[in-house]
Amino acid sequence: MKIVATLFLLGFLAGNSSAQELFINSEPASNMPRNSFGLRIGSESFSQASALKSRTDLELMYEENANLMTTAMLHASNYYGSYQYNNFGLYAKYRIYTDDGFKQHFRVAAYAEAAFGPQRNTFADIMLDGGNSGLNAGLIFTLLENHLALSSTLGAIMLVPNEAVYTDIKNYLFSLSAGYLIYPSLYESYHDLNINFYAELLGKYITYDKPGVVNYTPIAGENPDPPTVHERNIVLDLAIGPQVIINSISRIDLSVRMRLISEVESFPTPAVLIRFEQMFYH
Amino acid sequence: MKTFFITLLLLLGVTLQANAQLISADVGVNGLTCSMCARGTEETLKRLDFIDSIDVDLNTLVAHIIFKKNVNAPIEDIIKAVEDAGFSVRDIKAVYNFTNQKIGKDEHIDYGNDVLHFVGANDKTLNGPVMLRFIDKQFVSKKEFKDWSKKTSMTCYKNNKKDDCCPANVTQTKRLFHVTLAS
Repeated sequence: MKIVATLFLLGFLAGNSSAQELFINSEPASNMPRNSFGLRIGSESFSQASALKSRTDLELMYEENANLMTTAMLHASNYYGSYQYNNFGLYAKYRIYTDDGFKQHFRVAAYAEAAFGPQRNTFADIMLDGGNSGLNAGLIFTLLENHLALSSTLGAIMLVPNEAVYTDIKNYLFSLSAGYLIYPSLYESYHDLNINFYAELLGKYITYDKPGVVNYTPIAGENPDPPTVHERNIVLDLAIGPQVIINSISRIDLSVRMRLISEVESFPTPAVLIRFEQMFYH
Repeated sequence: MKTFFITLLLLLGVTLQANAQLISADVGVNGLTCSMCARGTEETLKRLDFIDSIDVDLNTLVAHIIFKKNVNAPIEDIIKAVEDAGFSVRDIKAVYNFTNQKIGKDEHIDYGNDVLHFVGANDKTLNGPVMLRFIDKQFVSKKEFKDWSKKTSMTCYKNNKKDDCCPANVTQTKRLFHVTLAS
């Protein structure tokens, strides 16, 4: 918690710096310009039982109009054996409230996501980008005020069981992200390199209707010891990292995610994410 | 005879211009702070075929637009493009090139798709490049809107839309804006 407080303080003391809401581990309530495309390719890796596990995400985003953005996603990983296709997902975000000012705004968006995957979930923490099938919907609140970019996401995730290890499990996600521009302090042109720094608290509140030791037969590659899941569990991660914006049209994200609270099994941390995004305008 | 020729010109698709040509505009944009957002706004505005060049100042957040010569440039299309980019227009200052254009209190002058209502203007003749400031409700502070409301008895300004007070040239297809000479 001290680390988070220090980071926020650094943000406030950043003087001439302003804020950017291109958060790494969450979506802002803002959208892209109408009829523009965004392409993302990213990879997140962690160590599990001395083996390097990694997941690759491919995302294509399209802005239908000023308020609606839709994304198609493909995920692959070696979570379940050799590197293979995990699942695909569809995501939509609709801006429902906007209040704009000079170098400030407050926006609210509603989002919904559906993931379709063949993999069974071995974590109480539902991973819609890691092979599980399910639905996720919620609200995003983003505030930009002079030096600070803050965003909060609140959502509910429902698992669509597929050879489910866990049934009757629900995830509620909550996140708080902060971002600030480190360089430059004064813009000169679009060709300026922009460097941002982000700190994000990413949490899951997990409820389970059959608390206790989870009864399932692990298959090859899974944890052989059945985990214990309580009726109510919290998983809370802190992700921090830099972001580089090139020519105001491309971006490179780097993030290290660390577990702060772990009441139930989830994917191991530290996890390192690297991602590249490119915008396309007609 | 005059009506016949005017109708003929309209039928031929020739827009009747007032003695004015829109040269450039400074459009303040609200809501954005990042350079990626600013570039997105610029790319969206660039799609408008009546824009010759555009430069977004990343510090003052003003889009400086230069228009193509002799091409109709509706202000509404610029506002819509900023909104399509995901932001909103804070204020507009536009430079028009006038040729013997008489203005006065509540004078409504035609420019392409737009009708410009001069609020509280003194009688004068405009010649050459003149900068106008748009003072519609959405472009000024509450206090400034109150002050300008006192300078005209026409309800179109207070109600922020075309009204019975507007003269004949403010037709259904025209977009009404309220302006003043930028000091």
